[in-house]
Amino acid sequence: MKSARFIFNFDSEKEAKIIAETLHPEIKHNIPKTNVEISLSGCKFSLHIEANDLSSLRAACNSYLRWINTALNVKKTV
Amino acid sequence: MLCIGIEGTAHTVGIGVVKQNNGKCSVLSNVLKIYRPEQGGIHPREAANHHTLYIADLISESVKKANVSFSEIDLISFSKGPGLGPCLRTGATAARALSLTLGKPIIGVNHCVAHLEIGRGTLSDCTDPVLLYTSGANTQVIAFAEGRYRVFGETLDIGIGNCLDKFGRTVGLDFPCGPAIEKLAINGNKYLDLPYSIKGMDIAFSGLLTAAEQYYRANKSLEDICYSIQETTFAALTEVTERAMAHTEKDEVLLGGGVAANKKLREMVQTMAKERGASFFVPTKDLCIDNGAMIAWLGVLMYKSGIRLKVEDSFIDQRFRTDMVDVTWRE
Repeated sequence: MKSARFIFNFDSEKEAKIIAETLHPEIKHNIPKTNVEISLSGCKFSLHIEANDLSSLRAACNSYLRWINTALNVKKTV
Repeated sequence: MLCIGIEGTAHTVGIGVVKQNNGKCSVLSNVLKIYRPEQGGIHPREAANHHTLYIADLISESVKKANVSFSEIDLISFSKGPGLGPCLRTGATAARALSLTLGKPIIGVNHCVAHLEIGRGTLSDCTDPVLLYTSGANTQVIAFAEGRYRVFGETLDIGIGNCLDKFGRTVGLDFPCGPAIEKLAINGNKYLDLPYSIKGMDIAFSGLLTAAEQYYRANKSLEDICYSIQETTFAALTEVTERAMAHTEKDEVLLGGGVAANKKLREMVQTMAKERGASFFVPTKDLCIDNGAMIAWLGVLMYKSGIRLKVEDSFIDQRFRTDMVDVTWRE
């Protein structure tokens, strides 16, 4: 099993909560061959991805980082 | 009600703001960016990266062009499907982030139904049409019957737009190839035999595509091949549409999807409608192609009919069929 962990320190607790809730449906609808967990502690948002193989891990990392980027950009637009 | 719609099923990321005026749709803004691969067909991951790059700026531009503020937006609508997973998820993610940031409700809509509803919403006298929906991925003949939009006929393999694009790529045309094929076809005058595949109410294009490519390799005139492709595929689409109209006893026909911009297709369907004494409708080009305004408009209709969606349940569905939608906003 391969794994990756990302820790983000957001500007505010509210921002971290929005990102976590935005990703939640995608975590419930899991990407094949991967297992994803998130946790939230104040402004700190932690993303842990496990996958059967390296290529699945890379694909999942790319997807989640893309979604976080999208959510952040949209939030900052408002 | 003001609604912002987020479209991102395939190569187009589009944002639109609409308002309901006396039951009709008023489009306040409709902006989009199209992913154009350097070569070959659409790559889902690259398309999703493209959407990520532009989606926030498009949301901002759309709200500015609509001359409203974010606080005035009442609803966020997004394409739930059908479409490419990575693209759909990018659109849904943006919609969730916007909904949570603004504290406004979210709703997920069916892309194909949106193509039909934007016609009904923006064209006066278009009330209960048979939709000939012709795009890259989708080719369907849709009509309302007993509480749902039923698919009376559809492609069994590739969409008509995909057929045109694949042929275009073979002969070196730029994406999207439909307009270039239409231009070449004007100078074609010799009809070359191509497979005319209608099975029941469904259509198949892949055999025709292979035959057309063989003509090209045999050095037949490109103009004649393009002319023959259009004549054959559009005749088949018109035939199925006419049969759906006869079956459902409807006297309105609506065109939708990117291929609806083709003048030859419009002419053939319009002639068929005229011969049947039916009305012919086609939305403006910006509302025919994939766009955010149609997603926003269907969101308004669904929300006003009482449909609600929680952010935690705002999944996408790559295989979201037209006939899976309960049409609660129509009698």
